[in-house]
Parts: sequence; C-alpha cells; structure tokens
Amino acid sequence: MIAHVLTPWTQDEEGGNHPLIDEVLAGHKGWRWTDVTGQPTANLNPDPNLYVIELTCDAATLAAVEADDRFYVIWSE
Amino acid sequence: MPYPIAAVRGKGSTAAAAAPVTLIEDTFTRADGALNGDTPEPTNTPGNTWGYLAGSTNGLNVVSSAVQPGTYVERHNAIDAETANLTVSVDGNTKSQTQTTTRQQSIIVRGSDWSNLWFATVSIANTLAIVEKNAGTSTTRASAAISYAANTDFHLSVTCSGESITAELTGMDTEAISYASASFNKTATIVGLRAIGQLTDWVAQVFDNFKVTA
Repeated sequence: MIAHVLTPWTQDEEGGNHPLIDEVLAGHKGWRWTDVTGQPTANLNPDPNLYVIELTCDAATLAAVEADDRFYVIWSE
Repeated sequence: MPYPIAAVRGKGSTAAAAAPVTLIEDTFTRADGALNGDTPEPTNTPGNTWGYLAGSTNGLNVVSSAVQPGTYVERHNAIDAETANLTVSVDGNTKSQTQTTTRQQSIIVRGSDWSNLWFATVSIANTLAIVEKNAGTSTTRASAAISYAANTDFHLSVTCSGESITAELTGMDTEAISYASASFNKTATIVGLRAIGQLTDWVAQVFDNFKVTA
C-alpha cells in the first residue's frame, strides 16, 4: 500500500530515529518511506513540526500508523 | 544535410558510458593508530588526507587493518573528494552488541562542517536512512526497514548526482532508498565515515575497504 502521512520531522542532534520509525514502524517489516515535502530544512516549519512522507508498507503497518493520533494519513491506496 | 556528429551520438548512440574512475580507495592496511592525518592507500587521486569536519575532533582508529570507533559516543573522519557527484562505498560489520538503543554506522557525503552534511546510516533500530544535517538539525529524508543483527557483514554505498542521493545496502536484507530533492550542500565535496554508539557497548563496529568513485 502507498500512503501520504503527515508526521513530525525534528530529530535529535545525532540523527536519531524519527518518532514514526521508533514508535510505530518498529517491529514491522517491508516498509520504506521518503520525504515528499522536498523542502530544505530551513523552509520546514518547526511549529507545527510536520512534513509529509510517502510510505510504502503492508496493510497491517498502515493500520498501526492510522491508529496513532500523532500521525495523520492524508490518503492511502 | 547530415547531422553533426554530436547530435547523432546524443540519440541512439552506441558509445559506451564512461566507466567510473576510482578517486579514493583505502583498505586501511597499515599500523594501528588514529585515522586522522592518514593518507588513503592504495588510491588517492585528490591527494588529500583523512581529517575532521570542522566542529568535531572525535575520530576513528585503524585497528587490525580496519577502522573502529574507539571509546566515545559519536565519531567520524572525513576527506575531501573534490567532487560532489560521486559514489562512496564501504564494507562493514556490526560486531557485538549489548545495548539496543542508539547504534549506527554511516557514510558521510556532501559535508562542509560537522553541522552541515548528509549521511546514509545503518541503525540498530532496523533502519537504513538518508539524513540531512542542516545547521545542526538532523532530518531523515528517506528510510526503509532492514534486519539489523550483531556480527553481520554488510556493504553500504551512497551515490550523489545533482539533487539526488541514493543509498544501497546489502548484507542485512537488500535495500535501496533515495531522496530526489537534496538541494542542501549539493556542491560540498567532503565524504567520510561516521559511527555512533553507547559507552557501554563501544566494542568494535568495523569499517573496511572505503572507496570513492566518480
């Protein structure tokens, strides 16, 4: 499945993992995503701290993302 | 009227594309010690030495003809490849692991200082990621699930071409991810190696056979 997801983008200084990965995708397999906002960091708004990713994953992984109210699935198919 | 030769070659040409040229190759086959200040061998066309990106002097060490982090939380070394469009690759091994949080091995590309660079990173969080570090803020631009495991060999490569950055991993699944809007630092030419872990588990993530082609 493919989905566009609104998700926080700021990380710790060491390039630690994205909250979406750490807390929702962990334990799931076969997913990948890329930022489709395509904006330099300087142009990303820190408040609200959000950007859009295109997530490719199975139905169970997408259901886990949809069930977490920190993230908003704009569309999926 | 016949077409100019250049125009003919531009459409339907059978001329082979130029093969990549190795700019830097380092097998780390030398005495143990700090990587900082070393000259890559056997190939070093740009003629530069391993150093640090300005802002951090926590370096890596040559140990037993490979590179290991040492005894600190986050380390790196870098070298100027003198071109921004290139492929950087390295062999790695995850070695032992006693903790399960932050642990990464990375290739640095398009660096200008420690606060401004890109890296592709293999993480104990079971991810392969492309990260933009811009003015000290890290933003993951692409990521994929992998099966991270201890004592596992892998091969990581990163290709930069214009505003495209692609990372490919073999050895812990085979994954390729890319980001097509990498406008930040797109003319920066410093590349390198990065490792991060915790003091309690700083045993021996390993890098070997570092190579830069363009």
